[in-house]
Amino acid sequence: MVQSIDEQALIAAAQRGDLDAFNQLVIHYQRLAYHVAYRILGEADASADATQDAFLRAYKAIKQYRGGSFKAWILRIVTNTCYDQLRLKQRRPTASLEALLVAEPAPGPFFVDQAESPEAYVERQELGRTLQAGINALPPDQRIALTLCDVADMNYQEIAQTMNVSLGTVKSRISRARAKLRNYLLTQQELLPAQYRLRDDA
Amino acid sequence: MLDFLRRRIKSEHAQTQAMLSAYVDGELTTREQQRVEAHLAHCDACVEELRTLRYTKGLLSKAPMPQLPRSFVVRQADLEERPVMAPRRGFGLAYAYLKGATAVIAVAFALLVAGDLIAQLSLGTSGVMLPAMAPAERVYEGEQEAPAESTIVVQKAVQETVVVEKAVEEQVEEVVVTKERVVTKEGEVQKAAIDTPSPAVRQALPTASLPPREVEQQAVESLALPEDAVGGGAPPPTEVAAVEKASDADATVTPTPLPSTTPFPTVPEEAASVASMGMESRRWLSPIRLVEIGLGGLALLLLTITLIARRQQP
Repeated sequence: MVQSIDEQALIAAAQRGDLDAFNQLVIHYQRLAYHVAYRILGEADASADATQDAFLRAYKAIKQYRGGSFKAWILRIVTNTCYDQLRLKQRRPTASLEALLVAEPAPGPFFVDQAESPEAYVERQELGRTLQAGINALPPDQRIALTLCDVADMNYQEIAQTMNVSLGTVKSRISRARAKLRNYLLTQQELLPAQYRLRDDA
Repeated sequence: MLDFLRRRIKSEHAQTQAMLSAYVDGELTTREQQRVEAHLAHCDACVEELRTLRYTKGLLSKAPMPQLPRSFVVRQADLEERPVMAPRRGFGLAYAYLKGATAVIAVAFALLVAGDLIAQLSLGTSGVMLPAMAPAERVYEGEQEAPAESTIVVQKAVQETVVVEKAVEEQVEEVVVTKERVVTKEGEVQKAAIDTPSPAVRQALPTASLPPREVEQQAVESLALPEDAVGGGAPPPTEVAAVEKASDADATVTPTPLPSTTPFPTVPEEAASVASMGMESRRWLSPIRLVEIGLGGLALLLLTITLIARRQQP
């Protein structure tokens, strides 16, 4: 992923306390980290907080990094931070007043393709909402595994390293998560824009 | 034969279904991949399953993602501030350890106290002679030197039982039960009687706990030298007078018959427990008691901290 920068040199500099070097790594990974956090948590604000907190924790723990995939290492911190937030949420399930009043969360400012029509933009937002609702229904472990696989585009070995579990566990979690999400999406076909529905010829 | 084939096909179908997701991700070994593809060639259900799984993966991969709300670069000021999540994680871990430690200490304390109580109860009911012997002698000797602290009740009924009792109060009481009658004396008479214990009392006391041979020996000694026994305590003149006064007041003090040389059947148990009361103060300072107090205090302290920490927990 990091081709234009010497990742190992930046890591080494960060380990010596060079904050600027570390921030170059942050700039490179922040989009991925935020997207992973967003899929796991399902809320834009909470994901931003978790991402910021994860990079802070990463900087403080950078001396403990002992080689290997830096992407896996940084995403491990991100997923752990998200996991903490999920547990916190489970412990305190009381939603804010604002969240109670609003039936559906307002869509986040998704990527806007300049060539995209307003209709297409709305449809993509609809897809994003439906997908996120399906992901939110998954248990945290399965949610994280599937996100690392399909959003972070990691292979099973990297996911196992990130989640600190065996390869078999990763296989099982992804298989179950994907099957559940598939079942959910099949029940929500009428809510999806036509172009995102499962076609017979697909 | 057909059943075997059906089972094998079913098992192959289930195995393939379990591997389909990894097949979609390209995470199967070459051999597994070949097996899956061989099964897909003749199983429409698995083909359909594969199609829906691919659709799900594709949808998730191309789903829109929100723009970055801000840059997440770390500033020096952020490092100086207290981060939001890190302390919570540390706190949660510390709280978990605290809870564990409290539970362990509380259980250890409960076990220790229970063990101590069981040990004491079994000691009390089994009527162990050895620990009772020394205190009984000590009580007897102490009465000669410091009679004011002691109360002795000597009861000799038809079964010839003797009960020795010690109390902290100044009031002392002696009841001498003979075969013919019971004489109860109060006040100075009682005190005098204890100050100058009669040979019968002296002889009766050790028999509460001594083995037969020693009791017999003491009995012989008291018979041989009754004057020594009475004069041994060197009672003051006033107390002697009190004894005389008591005699005048028709409080007949009939010396009890010679104690039986056989140990009394019911006495040792009671005498042991009662006489060992003198050891109670020492037991309180025994190491096990100190450990109990220490553990109890520690458990209480940890419990308090845990309850406070529970309120503080995010």
